[in-house]
Amino acid sequence: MAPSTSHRPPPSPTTPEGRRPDESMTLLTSMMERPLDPGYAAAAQRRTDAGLPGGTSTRTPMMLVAALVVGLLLSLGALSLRGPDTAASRTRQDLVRQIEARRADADARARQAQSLQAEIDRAQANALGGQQAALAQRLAALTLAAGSEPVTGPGLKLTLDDAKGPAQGGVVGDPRNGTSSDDGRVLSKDLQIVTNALWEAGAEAISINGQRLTARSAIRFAGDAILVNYRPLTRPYVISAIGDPQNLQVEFADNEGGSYVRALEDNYGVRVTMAGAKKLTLPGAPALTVRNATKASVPPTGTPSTTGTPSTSDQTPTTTEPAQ
Amino acid sequence: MIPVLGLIGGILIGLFLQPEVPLWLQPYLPIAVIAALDAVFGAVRAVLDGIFNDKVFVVSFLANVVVAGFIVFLGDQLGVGSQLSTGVVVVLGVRIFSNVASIRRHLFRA
Repeated sequence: MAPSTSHRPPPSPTTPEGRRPDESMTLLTSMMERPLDPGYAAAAQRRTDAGLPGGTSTRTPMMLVAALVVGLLLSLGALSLRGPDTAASRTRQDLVRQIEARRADADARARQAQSLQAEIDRAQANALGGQQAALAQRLAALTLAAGSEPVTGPGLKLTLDDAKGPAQGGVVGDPRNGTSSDDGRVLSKDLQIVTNALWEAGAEAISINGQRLTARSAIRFAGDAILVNYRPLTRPYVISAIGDPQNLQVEFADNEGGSYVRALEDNYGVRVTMAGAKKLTLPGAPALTVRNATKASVPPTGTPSTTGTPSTSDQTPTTTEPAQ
Repeated sequence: MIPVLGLIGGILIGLFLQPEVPLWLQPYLPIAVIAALDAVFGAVRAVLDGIFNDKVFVVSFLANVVVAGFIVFLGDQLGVGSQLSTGVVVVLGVRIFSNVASIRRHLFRA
């Protein structure tokens, strides 16, 4: 190549013998030193030889077309090369959107069910009002006891939260489930034992994170989440129990719940706070309708509870999820 | 100015029309993009050097894209497609970097 094609002074001096010291790397040096297409310089040389200025204008139709093609190529590359990995992420986002939409839908329907329930209650009270006051009173007492109505009263607020970090998650080398990451976590079993102890201590109504416990409630694990009334809860778990605050606290501390909570705190670092409250308001439980169970025609002197339950108890999980 | 307008226009056309690239062309697209970038930066440097030539630009652009695609195609046939594309990317990348360095010297004198 003629020296005129190089646009930089040659950076490496020649050795006395006229050989460049980096001659063994000519491929690399030519690549590094002459990145510009030599064609440009050759064309410019030809033009100056013919008496024209060295460079041509960039404002030619050919340039416009070439630039269009380059731009098209760039955007095409960007679009189609981004494609493959968005196929998976698009599905994922779609699923996330579906989950969110359905959760919002379910929440809206739960609210609707609650307002409809309130309407039914009002209509019932209207229908029963006046002449059948005794019936209305009995109905009110029953709904209160069954937990389908919001209730308010003094009580106890118990907050359970996972241990702070795996490092502080209790005593070192204390295997709860074998894995250390599970050590300080609140399990469904903990909530079950605590709520049972609260019932035992005389609680009249209990809700966990706003989910009212009724005769048909279940506290269970699904994957990593704790489900109450088939709704997943997030930590911290706030258990509100209505009852005489003093008695409730004393009884709870005395029975197995108190010692269990202390053991959770001491051994696993589960954070537990207990506080009496002057006024707690618990929501009513939605959808307490019974579909398959009918009133057994056994005289009340018999044992209605044992004849009525077996057929319904193993069907409750399917019957309690009509809205999903 | 015209080349910049053309570049923006091409990008917009690609974004709005979103033409489907045939599947058999897709492996060559990244290499073609890098070859096109190389030609563009070479052209910018030539403009700053005052020796720009539109014919040379168009021919070098097309030749770059075609040769880069051909190398990848050949590599695919020989079973070393990914290695050869890496080689093409390295060579063109070095050229792009030194062209950009030269452009930088022209513009900022640094």
